[in-house]
Amino acid sequence: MSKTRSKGLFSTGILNVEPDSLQGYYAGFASRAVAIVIDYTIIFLVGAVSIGAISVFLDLATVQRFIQWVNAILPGFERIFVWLTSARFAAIFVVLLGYAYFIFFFSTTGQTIGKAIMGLRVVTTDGKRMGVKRSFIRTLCYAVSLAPLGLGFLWVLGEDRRRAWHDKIAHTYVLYVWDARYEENFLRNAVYQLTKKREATKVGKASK
Amino acid sequence: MSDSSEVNKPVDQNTALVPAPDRPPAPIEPFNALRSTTRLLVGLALVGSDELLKRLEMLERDFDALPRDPEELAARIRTSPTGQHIPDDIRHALIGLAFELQDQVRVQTPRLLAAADQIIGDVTRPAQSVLNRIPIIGSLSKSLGLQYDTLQKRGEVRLQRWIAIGQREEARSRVLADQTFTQIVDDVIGYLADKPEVQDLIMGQTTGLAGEVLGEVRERTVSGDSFLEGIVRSVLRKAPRAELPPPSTEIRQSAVKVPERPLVASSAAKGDQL
Repeated sequence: MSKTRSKGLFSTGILNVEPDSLQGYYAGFASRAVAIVIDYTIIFLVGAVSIGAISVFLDLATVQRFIQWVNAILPGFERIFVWLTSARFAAIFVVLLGYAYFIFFFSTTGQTIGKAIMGLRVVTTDGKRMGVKRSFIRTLCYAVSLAPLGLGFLWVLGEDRRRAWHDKIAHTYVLYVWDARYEENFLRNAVYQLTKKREATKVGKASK
Repeated sequence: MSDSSEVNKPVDQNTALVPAPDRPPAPIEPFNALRSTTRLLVGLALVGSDELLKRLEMLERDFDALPRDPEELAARIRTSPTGQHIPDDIRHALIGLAFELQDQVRVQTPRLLAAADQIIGDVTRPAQSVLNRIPIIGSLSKSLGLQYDTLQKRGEVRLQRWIAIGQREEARSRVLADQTFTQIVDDVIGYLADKPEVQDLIMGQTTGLAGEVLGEVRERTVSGDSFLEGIVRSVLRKAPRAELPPPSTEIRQSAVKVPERPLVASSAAKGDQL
């Protein structure tokens, strides 16, 4: 399935092996990071629109009259509506929306929108789709991965099976589900830039 | 100063309420196909000339700002059919003549007209004085002179009429041409947009383009995955990967087809490793 190259790009020490296709292989940090950025963008956009809609609804004259009417019967009732327009509610709403989003998509397809765009899927360690419980735990453990300055996410870079802490806790893998291949020009350029920098540093050190 | 008796005159209520007479509205011209077509053609000629001149000015400015490589231009001339078939000297002379002629016409025409006027005046003045002395020819000359003056006046009147029509029609012709052009473009776009074949084509191209961009982004991130990993491994002084660890066949297959949802019974039996 994979072949070893002796010369060129894959002999730079950065990559030694070029598989024909990476479909079904463990997905790496960059793909997962892009996917999660897309997901959080969607969550924040939907959250912002929803909170805006709630605020507009509560500002309607009829709703205000209704709140005052209820408040006359049940004093203190309007505090709930004041809380609904507060920043704290907005934060809680977005967090809950995020949880709902991840749990729904992980448990139904194994792919969030961001992961689907990037061609990734989360599966259990035995290759099955996650249930609601596992999806919930995996999503909850994002916080664990994030807590030590995101070290749990960065763990993907050093781990053999490219697993983050939340993957380890929830017993999941993230796989490429598309016919994943390297973009050789991009990679060649990146490797060239890196080696040039290394050589420049070496020359600088030698001259000193 | 107005007369005081006039000032103190009581205002007639009937006349005071009558508003000042407005200017009579311009009579609405009945549609005339020929006139409208002429208007459109004139408008198109004017708008087209404007656009052409604008572009020419832009091209000239671009050429001045970024002069081409003389070698490249020379090579292009050499390989062109005119460059190959017409000898250089003749070709250059003809081009030079065209430019020289244009300059000469511009500079010499007023001079030539003034000279012609002078010559005609010089020739006809003595002849006229001699001819005026002969009774029949004198009266004939006077009559001819009067006719010439009448003709000149009529010509001037006609010219003034043309100028007035031009002033009135120019703006309208331009607007008509602009609107016709915009309308035609809109209609063509509307017609194309309604055609299912065109819609399919646009959709297909858009989807194809989006797919290509997505493919590119994915490939780059896949490359980025390995690249970043390589950097981290070298920083951590770990040996580079001999190969990416292949997952088990079962897991790899799950990437191709949508993995089945774990059954409650089976997951309960396995204890759903958490």
